[in-house]
Amino acid sequence: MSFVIRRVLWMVPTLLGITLVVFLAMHAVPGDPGDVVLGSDAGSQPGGVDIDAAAERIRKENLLDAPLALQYLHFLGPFDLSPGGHEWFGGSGAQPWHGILALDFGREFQRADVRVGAEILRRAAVTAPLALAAILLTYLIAIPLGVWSAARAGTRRERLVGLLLFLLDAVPVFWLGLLLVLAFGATGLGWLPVIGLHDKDARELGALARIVDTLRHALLPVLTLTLGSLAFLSRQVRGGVVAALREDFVRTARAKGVREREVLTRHALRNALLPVITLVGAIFPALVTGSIIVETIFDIEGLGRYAYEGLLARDTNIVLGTTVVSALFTMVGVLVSDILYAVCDPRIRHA
Amino acid sequence: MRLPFTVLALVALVLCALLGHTTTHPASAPTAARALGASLPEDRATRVVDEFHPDRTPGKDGARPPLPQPAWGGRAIVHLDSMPKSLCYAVESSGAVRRVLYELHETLLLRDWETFEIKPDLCASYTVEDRLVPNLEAAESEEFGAITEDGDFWVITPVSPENRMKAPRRVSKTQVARIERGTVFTFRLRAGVKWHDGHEFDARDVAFSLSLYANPDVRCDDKRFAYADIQHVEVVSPSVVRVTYEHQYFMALMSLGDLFILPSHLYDLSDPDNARADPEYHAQKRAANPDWKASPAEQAAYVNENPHNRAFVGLGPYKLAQFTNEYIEAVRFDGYFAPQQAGYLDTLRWRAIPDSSAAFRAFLNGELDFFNSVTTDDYFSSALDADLFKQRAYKGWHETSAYWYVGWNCLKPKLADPRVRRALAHLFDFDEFRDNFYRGLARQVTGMYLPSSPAYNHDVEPYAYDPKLARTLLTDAGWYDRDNDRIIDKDGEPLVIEILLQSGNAVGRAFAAKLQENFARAGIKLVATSLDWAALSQRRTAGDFDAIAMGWAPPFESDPEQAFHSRWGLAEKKGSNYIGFADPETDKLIDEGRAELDPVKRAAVWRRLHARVYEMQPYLFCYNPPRKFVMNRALRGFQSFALDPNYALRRWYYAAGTPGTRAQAAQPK
Repeated sequence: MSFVIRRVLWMVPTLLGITLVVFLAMHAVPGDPGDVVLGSDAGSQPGGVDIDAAAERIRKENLLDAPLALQYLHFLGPFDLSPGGHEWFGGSGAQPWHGILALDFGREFQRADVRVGAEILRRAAVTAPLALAAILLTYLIAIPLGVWSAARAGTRRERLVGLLLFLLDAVPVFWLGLLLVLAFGATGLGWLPVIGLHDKDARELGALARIVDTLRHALLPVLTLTLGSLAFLSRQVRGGVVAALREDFVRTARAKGVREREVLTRHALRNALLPVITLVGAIFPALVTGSIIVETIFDIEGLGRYAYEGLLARDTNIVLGTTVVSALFTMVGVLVSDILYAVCDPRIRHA
Repeated sequence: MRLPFTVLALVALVLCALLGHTTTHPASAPTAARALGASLPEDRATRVVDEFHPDRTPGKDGARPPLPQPAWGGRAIVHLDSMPKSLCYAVESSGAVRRVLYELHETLLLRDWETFEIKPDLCASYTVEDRLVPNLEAAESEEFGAITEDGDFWVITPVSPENRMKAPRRVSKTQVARIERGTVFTFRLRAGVKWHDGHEFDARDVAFSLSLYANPDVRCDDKRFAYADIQHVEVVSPSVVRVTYEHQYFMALMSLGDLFILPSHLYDLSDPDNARADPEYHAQKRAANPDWKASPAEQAAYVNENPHNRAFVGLGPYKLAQFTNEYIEAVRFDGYFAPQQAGYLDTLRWRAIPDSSAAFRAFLNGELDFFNSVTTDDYFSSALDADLFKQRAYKGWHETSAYWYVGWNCLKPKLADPRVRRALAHLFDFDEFRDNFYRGLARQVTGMYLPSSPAYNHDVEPYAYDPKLARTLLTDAGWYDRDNDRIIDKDGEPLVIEILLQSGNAVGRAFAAKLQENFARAGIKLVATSLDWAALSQRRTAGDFDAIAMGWAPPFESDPEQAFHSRWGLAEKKGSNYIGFADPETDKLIDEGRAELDPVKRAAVWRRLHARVYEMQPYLFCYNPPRKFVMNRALRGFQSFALDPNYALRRWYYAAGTPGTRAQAAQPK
C-alpha cells in the first residue's frame, strides 16, 4: 500500500517536469499564436478583418507577452494571473482561479468560449472506448496467435504467419486504414460505413439500432488500431512462450505426463503472460493519444486530433492540456502495470 | 477614415483550400487541357444552371435539354471544412460560419450575385446623405442632406423623409469646417420581418448590434475597425435607424449592409423583452437614473457567452434545428419574410469533415451530397469515371474569387528594383504550368481584384515567358555573372532568393520546383522552404523573407490601401503591406480611389491601379483556380456565381416526383 502511495506522490514532480519541458518546447517552436489567429479560412468580408486586433486580445488574455516564468505559474495555478484574474495579483477578480492546480486548463486561444478541459473530456470520451476496444481485440487475437506460433515455432506455416505479421508491422497505419476503407466502404464491398461514428440518420433510429450503428461505424477504426499493434504484441507472446517452454518446470510438467495443451496454457503461457499484461500500461496511452491518423482517416473527433490541431494553432493551452492528460494516462498505465506485476507474480514485492 | 495600421485586408488566407493536398502532375494531354482552359469565362458573372449535369449535356444542335420541374422538400448534405463552436459571427469569424449564415440569416443590404447591384434585403430602402460639419465658433448646427456648392455657400437639401430639415438651406462657407460626403445612412426596415423565435425584428436590433463593436470587452476585435469610425447610431423609429460616420469612407455602406445583426431581445440586457432583464431591478435602477443601462463589461460577457451563440436565432429562410459535434442542420422557417427567395429544400445539413481527403471518401460513400474541395488529382482520377460514381453523382467546377501569388519582399535590396521583379515574371511559363499542373482548370490573374468585377483590368496583358528579355532586364539592373560561378551578382552579392511555402502546399511546391529550374537557367538561385502556418506567419510578420506564396479571396470590392499603400509598408514599422512595397504613383491612385464615392468612377481608378501594380510587380500574381466539386446527381439547380458563396443552396431542388418531396411550396399542414 505504501508503495502505491509513494508512487502516486512521485507522479507529481514527474508531471511538473513534463509540463515544464513541453511548456519550454512550445515556446522554442517558431510561430506565434497571435499570428495564427484566423488561420486559413477567414471569410472574405468587405474590408477584410483586423487580425492584429484579435491577436492582441489573445496575447493579453493569455499573458503571452508576460515573462515565461509568470506564464508558467499562470498555467500551474491555482491563481489566475491574467488581467481578469485574482485580485491578489492585480486582476479584476472576475475569474480568480486557473491552471492545473485548479483543475482548469484555460480556454482555447481562438475560440475563447471553449474550455480546454471540457473539450478534452468530450474528446477523451470518444477516443478512450475506441482504444479500449482495440486493446481488448488486440489481446484476444495476439495471445492465441502468439501461443500457436510458439507451439509451432520453426514450422513453415508459422514462418509464413511470422512474415505476414512483420509485413503488417511495417505497413504504415494510414495506408492500412485507407486500404480497409477501400475494401469495406462503398467503393469496395460496401459492407461498412467509413466516416464518423454515427449514421447521417442516426437520430431517427431506435436505441438498439443506434448502438448497432455506432458499433458498425467503430469497427474499421478499431480494426485499424488493432492491426497496428497486433504484430508487436503477438510476437511478444510468442517470444515469452518459447522462452518459457525451455524452462525446467515445463520439462518437469511434461515428464509428469501433463498433456501438451495444458503445458502450453497452464505453465508456459501463464509465465509468459506477465510482461505482456504489463504492456497494457504502455499501449493504452499510446492508443489514446497516438490515434491522430486513425481519427483523421475516419473523421473522428478524438483527443489525438485535438492535440494536433492545438499544435498547429500554437495554442499552448490545448497542447499543455492534452500533454498533461496523456502524461497522466501514461503514468497511471505504468503504475497499474507495476501493481499488476506484483499481483500476478508473487515473487515480486515492492518493499 | 483612419484605419489601424494593423488592418490586414489580406487575411483571407485561403491557402489550404487553394493550394493544399495536390501532388505534382506529369504533363498530360495538353490539347484537352487547353480546351478546358478555354472554357473558363473571363468575366461572366453567372453561369448556366446545372452546367455540368449529365442530363444537361448539349445535344447536336448545341441546345441543352430543359431542366426538370422542381419539387419542394428533401434534404441536402453539404460539406463544411471546419466545425464552428457557435454561429455568432460577431464573436466567431470563420468561412464556415459565414457559409451557414448565408441561409440562416439576412443582412440589411445584399449584393446581387447576378447583377452585382446593391439591393435592400432587411431594409425596404435606404438613403445616403452628406454631412456638413460647422466651424467650432460658428453658430451653425451640424446638418445632413445632399450638399451642393453655390458660390460662397453650401446648399443642403434634405433627401431622407426622416431628415429633420424639411427645406433646403444655404450655409456660408465661412461657417463650415468641412463636408463629409456619404456619411449619413438611413435604413428603413422591412415590415413584418420576424426572428426565428417569432419576435419582431426592428431598428433596436440594428442599433444594438452596432453598439457591440464599440464595447471593448466583446470578442469582435477583428471586425471592430469596420465600424470604428461610426459617430453615432440613432433609432429614429422602430423601423428606421440612422448611422452617422465621422469621416467619408467608400466601404462604409457595404460594411453596414453586411452587418451581422443580433436579436436584441436575446442579447441586450437593457431590452425590456429580454428574459434576463429583471423588470424590478431595471425599474429600480431606472428610477434612480432614467438612462440606466447594464454595464459594458456585464453586457459583453452576456454576448460572449450567450447560449444563443450556439442555439442561433436568425432571420433567414432556414432556422437552426440541430447543432451537433458533426453537423449543423437547418429546416425551413415558415415565418420567413420573403417566401419567393426562400429555398426548395426543407432541410439543409452542413457536415463538418476537416480533412479534405476524408471528406472526399465520405462523398464517395454517400455521406455527402456536395463537396467542393476536390483536388486536381481526385478530379481527374479513375474513381470519378467509375460507373458507381456516375450513377449517383457528377463532377464540375464553380467560380471562386480566391487566387494566389508570390509576394516579393521589396525592402530587400536585391528585390527593390522593379526591373528585377519584372524579369522574374518573364521567367515563368504560366500557360505551361496551368496546362500541366491544373490541366487547364485555372485562370492566370494579373491583379488583386475579383476578375469579374469592374475593378479588374482585363486590358493588362500578362508578361510573356521570355528568358531572353528577363536576362536583358537583369543586366540593365546591374545583375550579371561577374565571378563566373553561374549565379548572377551585384555589389558582390549573388542573387539567391528564398521562397517560403506553407507545408502541405502541393501547388506551391510544384510551382517552386519549376521556378527553380527556370531561375537557374537565368543564373538565379531559388531556395524553397516549407513551414507550417504558424512559423510562416511569424516570418511574414517579421519581414524575414525574400518571397512568400500567399492566397487571398477578394470580395466584390476591397480597399487596396492596407496591402499596397506605402503608409502600411514602412521598413521601420511593420504593417499590413508586409512586402514593403512603396510606389508614389500607386499611393496616389489608392488615395484617389478611396476618395471617390461614385462606384463607376472608382472602378476606373482601380483599373488604373491594377495596371500600375502589375507593372511594378510587387507580387508575382499567379492563378485563380476554380473550386472543383462533386455533387449528388439527383440534386438539381446548381449554378455558379463569381461572388461569395459562389453557389446558392436556396436554388437547389429535387426533380418533381422524387420520393419524399411534394409539388407545392407550402408544407401541407
